[in-house]
Amino acid sequence: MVITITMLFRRKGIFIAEILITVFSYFILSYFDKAYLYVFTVRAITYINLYFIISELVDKSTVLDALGEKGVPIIIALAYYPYFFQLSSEVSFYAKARGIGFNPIKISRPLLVEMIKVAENLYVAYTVKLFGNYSGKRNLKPRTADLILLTIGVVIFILSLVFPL
Amino acid sequence: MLTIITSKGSVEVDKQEIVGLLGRNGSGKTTMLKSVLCDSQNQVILDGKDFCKEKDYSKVSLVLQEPYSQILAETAKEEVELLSRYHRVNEEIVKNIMGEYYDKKFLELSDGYKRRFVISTTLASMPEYVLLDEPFANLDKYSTAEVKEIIPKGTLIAEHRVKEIRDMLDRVYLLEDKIEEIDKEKLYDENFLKSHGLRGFKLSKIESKLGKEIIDVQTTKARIKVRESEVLCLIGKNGVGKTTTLKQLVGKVYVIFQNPDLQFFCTTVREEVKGREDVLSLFNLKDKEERNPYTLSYGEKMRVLIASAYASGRKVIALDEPSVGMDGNSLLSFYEMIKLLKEEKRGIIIATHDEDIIGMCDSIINLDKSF
Repeated sequence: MVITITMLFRRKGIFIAEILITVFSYFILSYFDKAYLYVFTVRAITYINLYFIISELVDKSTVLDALGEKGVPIIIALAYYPYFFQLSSEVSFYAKARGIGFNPIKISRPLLVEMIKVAENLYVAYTVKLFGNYSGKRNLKPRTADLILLTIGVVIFILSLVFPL
Repeated sequence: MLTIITSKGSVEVDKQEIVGLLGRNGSGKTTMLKSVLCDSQNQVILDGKDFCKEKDYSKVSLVLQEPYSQILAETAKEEVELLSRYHRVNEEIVKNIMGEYYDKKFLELSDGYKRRFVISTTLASMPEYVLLDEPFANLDKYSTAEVKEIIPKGTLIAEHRVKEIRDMLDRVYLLEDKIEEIDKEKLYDENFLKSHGLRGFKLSKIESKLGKEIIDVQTTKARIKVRESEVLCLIGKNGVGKTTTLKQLVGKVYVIFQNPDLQFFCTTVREEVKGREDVLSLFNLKDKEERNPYTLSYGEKMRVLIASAYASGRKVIALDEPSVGMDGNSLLSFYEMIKLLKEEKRGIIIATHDEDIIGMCDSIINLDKSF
């Protein structure tokens, strides 16, 4: 978790929020004698961070080389993560401006509508742009960025075994 | 020749011309362009043959209104690489159109270059015909120029923004109860445009007596002072800081931001206006009170947002680019709503780059001296 949080230092908002979540959740869980649940906080933050990191670092060509046409939806999904992140921030801001407190059902409505709109338009883009037969050759030889990510993943895995909480 | 045949009539586009398909919001322009997806009753004939038998998108392509939901990769360069795994693409077309922004992330691009991104990646496949759905939506005059210069021959443009396209069209169709080819000269007639729900006319000032000062706030870009019944406009091109300025007013002013769909949190119009019967009547929403706001047209959505702003009781209401999705009818309806707010002695702030509505302003703050 520490390694992945450190890798997100450029994203100040996420960086600060996660440090605060990490610290406060430890103290809150300890206060209620539930420190044994802290491992789930750590895992959740690590998985979320890995998603953020992979979506920035991953070489899209590598995904297509390794997975072929099955990798195309992944590439497209990665292109939309920043947009939906921005959208979530906007909706949260608008909800706050309207005096709507923490109400996940109300806040999720505009996000769901937007997701459906994006899906409809994306179907059109998929249809008119990705015509023809996919013809990329599989290439499983890892590139430098792949090796870095693999190394980080292995280190995190080993650390989680060596230092279990 | 590309021909789209519907129950209302047909539209033809030759490879050497740019054709306009004009119509108010909801007239069916987008539905007509989407005929090339071959999932409707409409017929598409390409060079004498039924296009839907083979659906050859190397010859005909389509670009919808919202660029952010049509990208297939984060950068134009990545998208070209993805497309090249499916069919032959001309990377030079995209490089020429995108220039220094060829490998820049989509979300970091200006509005004009976002539009260039989706159009250029479509043109990379070298289609003979391109169908563009409202390509100038939400673009200021500079971004509009950036997009206009890349539109090729063999294009059918669906729009209600007449001023942006009338000087580039070879022929033009009007889509209403039927499709009719019209004389281009009519696109310069404001009465014609108004009567057919098209944009291209300017709104004039609403004369009223201004009351006492309601707010006086210093933001990072400007000092905002608004009086009762005053329309204060913040003007400037996209990206100059209009929205940022409005965000700094949240809490003191009821702000209606640009995308209406992101600002509805209730399931009915009635809930959005807090159940106020008087507000529903005032804004002619009684017949829509049980409808879900997401099912309304753009103009109706803006009406609901302005009504809920009114229902909030806030003395000052701000609107961020309210006219971007409006056709001529919606614009006239918007004019009436602003008139109503002025009569109720509310202060109004409008952030806009739209020169059609700047005439409504009692006072103007220009955030961009070059605008």
